[in-house]
Amino acid sequence: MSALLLLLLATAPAAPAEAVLARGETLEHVASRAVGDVRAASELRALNGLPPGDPPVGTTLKLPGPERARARSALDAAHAAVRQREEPTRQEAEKRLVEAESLFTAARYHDAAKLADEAWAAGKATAPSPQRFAVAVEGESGTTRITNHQGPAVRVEAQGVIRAVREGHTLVVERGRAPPVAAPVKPPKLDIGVPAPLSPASSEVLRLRPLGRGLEPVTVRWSAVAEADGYVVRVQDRRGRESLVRTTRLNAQLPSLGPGSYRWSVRAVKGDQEGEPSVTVRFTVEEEPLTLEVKGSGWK
Amino acid sequence: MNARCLLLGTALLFGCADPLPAPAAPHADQAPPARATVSALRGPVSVKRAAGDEWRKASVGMRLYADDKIATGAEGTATLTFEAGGSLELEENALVGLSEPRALHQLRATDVTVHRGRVEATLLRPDAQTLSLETPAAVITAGREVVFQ
Repeated sequence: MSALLLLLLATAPAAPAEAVLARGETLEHVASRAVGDVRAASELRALNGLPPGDPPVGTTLKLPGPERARARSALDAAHAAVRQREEPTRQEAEKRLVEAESLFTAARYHDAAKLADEAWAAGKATAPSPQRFAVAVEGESGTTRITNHQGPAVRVEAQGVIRAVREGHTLVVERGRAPPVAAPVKPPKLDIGVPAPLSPASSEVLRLRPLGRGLEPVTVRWSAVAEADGYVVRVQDRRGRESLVRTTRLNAQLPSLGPGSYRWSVRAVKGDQEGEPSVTVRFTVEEEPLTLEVKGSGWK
Repeated sequence: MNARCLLLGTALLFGCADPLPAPAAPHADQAPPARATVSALRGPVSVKRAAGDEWRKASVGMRLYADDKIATGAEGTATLTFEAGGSLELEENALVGLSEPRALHQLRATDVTVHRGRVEATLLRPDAQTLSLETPAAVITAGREVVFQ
């Protein structure tokens, strides 16, 4: 925009139309009548070097040429572009635009356009901050969690409903449902300790006996955290399906697990805030083969 | 994703991966534009070409085209760098597919389908790049041309 505009301004032929102040007219009247913009009165005063007050009737006034329209166009484009900018770039560009508007009012159209171009280009030269966001799809359900870590808002659309997920916010969309309003990501409590998983240990293989329709339950254990008033255990199978168990004790019985590989971790809880999770421990569940002992009954 | 694909993918990811090197892109005749490059990986990572049913081991530098799929296994991670800008990191047990960008986003845009797992997306120039992720539940769009109604 800028190079072409400045070239046009530099080479535009001067076309100083004139207007004569009629009886009963003010500069505002002439600005409205001859320029098409009542705000151009101050420009007429500056352009014609007039002192404060109404000029006498019959005064011939030099009117702005096409450079005025071009400068106005440059200013409007710069205003629109700067409104889209993020702080602090926007603040700096807005200062330049205020100055550019002041030059425009003083009928210094070329200078105003040049400054508007600088404001427009200044923010553009500064690359916006990168965007980082996470999308997690839970196994079979397809439930999707979107978390915007950094950058402009992310757009989430489902069932014809659009939601914005702004920086530091998250939302969960269930399949076939409209997305809810995003909520701030709950910051983890930093000043609480992290429990250490004790059992099952890393890479431990648990051989469990059948019990009812499944296998006998698995109990996980961990070390205490002084300030904690509870714990949350997270267990995930290798397909990403996870279960959460909340307890106030230092152990928890997990929901029935089938044979397979699992990972678990635990985090301390205080009030409604959660601490950092422990290291993740992998373990394997195997079904212990049934041993059938058939004793002689003496039956004949 | 059909059942056959699921079975093949599962078999490859859990220890039965075909050790053959990754094939050249089957699109050479038509020379379609690559959509992404595998820029980093760790652990089991497999790729299925659009025209084939076989899952093959992925490698760094492998180029991916529209309708190709890439999957990570247990403790596997992969990073895709998009031709249109931006990148996507697949965490373990993730499955994503590359799509043809929709007509509206032909310029510097990438469309990806996330079938399962967790991915981290990065756009270094969100003012000039667009990334759209489709999941079974929603369509997530970030970057340029994001419009809120």
